[in-house]
Amino acid sequence: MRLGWSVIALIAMVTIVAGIPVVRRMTSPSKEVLFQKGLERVSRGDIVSAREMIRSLHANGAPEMALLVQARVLLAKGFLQPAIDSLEDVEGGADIVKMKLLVQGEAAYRMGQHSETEAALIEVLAIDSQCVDAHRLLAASYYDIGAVHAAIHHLTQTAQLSPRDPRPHRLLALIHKDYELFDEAIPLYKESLRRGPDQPDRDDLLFEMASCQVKMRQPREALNTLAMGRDGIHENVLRAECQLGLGDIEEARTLIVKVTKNEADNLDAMVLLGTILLEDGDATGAAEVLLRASTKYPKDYLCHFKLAQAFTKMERLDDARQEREIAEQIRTLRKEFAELHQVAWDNPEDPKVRLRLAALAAELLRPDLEQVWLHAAAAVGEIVFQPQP
Amino acid sequence: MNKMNSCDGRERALLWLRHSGLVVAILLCACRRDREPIVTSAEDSLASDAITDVNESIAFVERSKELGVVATYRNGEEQNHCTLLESLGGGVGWFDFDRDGWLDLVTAGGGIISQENQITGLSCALFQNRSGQAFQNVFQQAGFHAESLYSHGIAIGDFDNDGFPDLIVTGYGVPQLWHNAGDGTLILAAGLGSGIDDRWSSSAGWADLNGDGNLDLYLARYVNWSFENHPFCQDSKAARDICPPRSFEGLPDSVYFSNGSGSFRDVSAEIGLRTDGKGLGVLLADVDLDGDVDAYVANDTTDNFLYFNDGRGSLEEGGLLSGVALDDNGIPNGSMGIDLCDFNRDGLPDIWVTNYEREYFAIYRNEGRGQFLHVSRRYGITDLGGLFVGFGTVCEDFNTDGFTDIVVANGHVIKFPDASPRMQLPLYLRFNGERFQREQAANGSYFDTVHEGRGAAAGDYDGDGDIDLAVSHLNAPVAVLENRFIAKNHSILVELIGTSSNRDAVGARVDLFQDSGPPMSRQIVGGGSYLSHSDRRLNFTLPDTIEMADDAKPFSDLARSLRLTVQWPSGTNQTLTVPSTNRFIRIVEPLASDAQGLQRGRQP
Repeated sequence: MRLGWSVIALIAMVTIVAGIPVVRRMTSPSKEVLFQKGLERVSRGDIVSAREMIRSLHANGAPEMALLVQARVLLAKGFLQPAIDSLEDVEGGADIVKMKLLVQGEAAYRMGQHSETEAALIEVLAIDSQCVDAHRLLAASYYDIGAVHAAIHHLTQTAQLSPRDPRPHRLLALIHKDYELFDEAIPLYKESLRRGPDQPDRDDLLFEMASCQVKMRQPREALNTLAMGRDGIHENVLRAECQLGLGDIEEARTLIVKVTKNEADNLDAMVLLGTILLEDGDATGAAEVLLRASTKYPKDYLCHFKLAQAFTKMERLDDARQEREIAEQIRTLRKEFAELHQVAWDNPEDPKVRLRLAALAAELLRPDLEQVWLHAAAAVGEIVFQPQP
Repeated sequence: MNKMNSCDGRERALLWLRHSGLVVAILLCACRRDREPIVTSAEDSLASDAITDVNESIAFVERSKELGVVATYRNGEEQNHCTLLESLGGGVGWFDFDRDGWLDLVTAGGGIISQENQITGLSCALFQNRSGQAFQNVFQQAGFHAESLYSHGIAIGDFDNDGFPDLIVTGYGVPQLWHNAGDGTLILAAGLGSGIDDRWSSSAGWADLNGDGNLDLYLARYVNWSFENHPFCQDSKAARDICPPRSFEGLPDSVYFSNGSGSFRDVSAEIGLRTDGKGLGVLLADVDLDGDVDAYVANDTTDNFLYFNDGRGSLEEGGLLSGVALDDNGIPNGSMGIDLCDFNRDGLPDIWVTNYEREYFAIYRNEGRGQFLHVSRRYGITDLGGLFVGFGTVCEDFNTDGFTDIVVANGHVIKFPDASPRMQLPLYLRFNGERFQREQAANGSYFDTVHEGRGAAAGDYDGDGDIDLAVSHLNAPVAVLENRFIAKNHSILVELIGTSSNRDAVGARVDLFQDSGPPMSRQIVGGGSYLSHSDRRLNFTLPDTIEMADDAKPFSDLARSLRLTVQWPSGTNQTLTVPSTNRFIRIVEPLASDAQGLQRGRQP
């Protein structure tokens, strides 16, 4: 009897030991799952877990997938060229090639290499025209070089393929806003808000949308929009502008005072206050505010334009003439700057126009824009450009 | 007529397209997607509360059909050439052509454009007023065959000082100068200047610019469009549409001085005109009150011009200097219609300008010494609700409440606009002493109906003492709008007849003084509105009771204390006591020895 139980126990043990690999094989994830998990870990920033997945993929005989996840890790850590290089020898089916090109496209985009980005991602779309990430990256790349037509096309595709993603509409709205197509921008903002009511930069979106409504002569609607967002300095300046638009000068004045208490040198607030004082007939007060503004922001056109008016009213005619001349110089620069945007839009591969835009941005004391256009020029042409840190 | 047409390269004041790093933040950042979508509460709507809720609606009645005014401006759009030519439209003009005391009406006819790009004019109409009860088109009898010109504008002036008002018809081709023979006919006069100048002309204005007692002509010219310069433009949905004005070069305006005998010489090159405008509206008036006539020009997408006159016809452009070239953001607007009005009753003439849809209509408040300030926001002009492309415009006290009201004819310039419709509501803006308010129109009335409005002109065609209107539309009949506001107050209609000055007395200033307070000031202007001509007589309305320092007295008691002063273009000043109220007063410029010069006119 004892012997019998012993035999049974032995058989059971042997069965269990022998069955472990089988069970393990039956319960361990497939390489596809490991691959997805790996990508997920990378996107979560969990590099340690991602590396485990890489090891598992190698162990499971999926070296290409392992390399793809590894390339994603490199990408996440900012090793862009190594990410591209690591995939040099990766081959496989359409899915593998697509993933490889996506990584390479993203790396190239982040290195500011527009042509390489474009080449890789167009190839991705040839494999899978519905690849939302390719459309998204292409939109970003085209936007960066000022090829806005193409950017809009890919943003629209992204929006269609990703119906709950609020980001494409946000950028579409921003593009339309920048090109003063405010009427088209407003519904795009609304759609973005509908898709992502709690998107991270909701307050910025509301501010941008309210700015468009102000431009569309909808001060009441703008105030409603602002009421849904934060009570910040820029918002209060815009509220003041709305109140001016509604003819409530005192409310506008109150808001401006509130703004300047927190930020004495706020340009828009100073210009608005100068405007109100000028209309009040207080040219001296207006000149004082506007002079302070123009000293702080020497390339602001409106400051000099209004200051010239204040000086004229005060009969300081030489000062007025000087301010008017400065305003006209800035106006000329701004006009060229605005017109060249159109040229850049229509000529997506032209580095010269982008360099000129960068030079104009520098003249207008906008180093941030100068950098962006220098990047754009470098991305589309053979221009050696050392980005500033 | 500033058309965006998707993106037309127009000046973008604050176009900082490149949002450094923003694209990455927007497009590539992680974004929570686990919330249910909601609809934002900021819905599109017209700011209906911008429309005042006073009980009084706009008391104008459209009467063109019953009066027999049947005229339609045609722009020739049927062949779908999408030419810029089609967008300007035509004007209307009130004038007593036969001097029977009743205002007659002239309307531009426009033209047609064939499939083979042939541009042909259509007849203008001349409606003779039959005692305010009916009109008859007498263009045939009058010999007013203007059909060789694709016409736009009408400007009326007695350029030969013979007492019969003459006119010029502007358009795409050689403008036509019509001499009123005084026998019920109009005769096509010799051309302006020595050569043939067929450059595209829009609005025109008559005034004595060089102080010789004869009317000179300011002719605004638009752009260098032709079928040889006809680019393909499309809207945001890729349909072909009319190109924006920025696609073309502006044409320099022209000034013609009268030789005194009904002929003219072109002095454009001599007097200091700028050559970079795209002129659509002209206003000739003494804006700096120095006794001569200045010229304000509304340009489309470029700076508006203000030419200060030195009194001898030499013009110095100072629009930027004086604050009327740009809007309050320092941006040139697409400006079309103009009028002069002292809306704030400070005795200084202000300038009113209608603009393109995303731009404010502009009130340039006269600050004195030739300085102006754009104050549209302060006076409610930025709170009208909706977007408008404004054309013909008239400032008048239509409802006789003592304050200046403003009428604007609106309509889009392109075929497939995005931001606002092609056909738009006209506007009636009532000034309440502090702000302009958009008035509510009665259901189904003219002001409650959308139109493609263009020219507009004011005149008391029925002789009942209030100001009526005529409005031209694109491819739709001209409207004659009878003023049916119940007169609240007393009105005085003043006609001036120059003797030493030009007979039309353009440039004369009339001030109506009460015992206290500032005077009511009016000027007889040249040009104004858009492509159109309003009756030259000046309308004053006074409150039923005038607030005095210590009490309020009935107007009739005060009438005797009202004084009119006239500053004639010749430099003669004249002071008169108003004989009674609700009067039509004709004042003839006195000779130096004549102190009175007042004639009692009859109410027509």
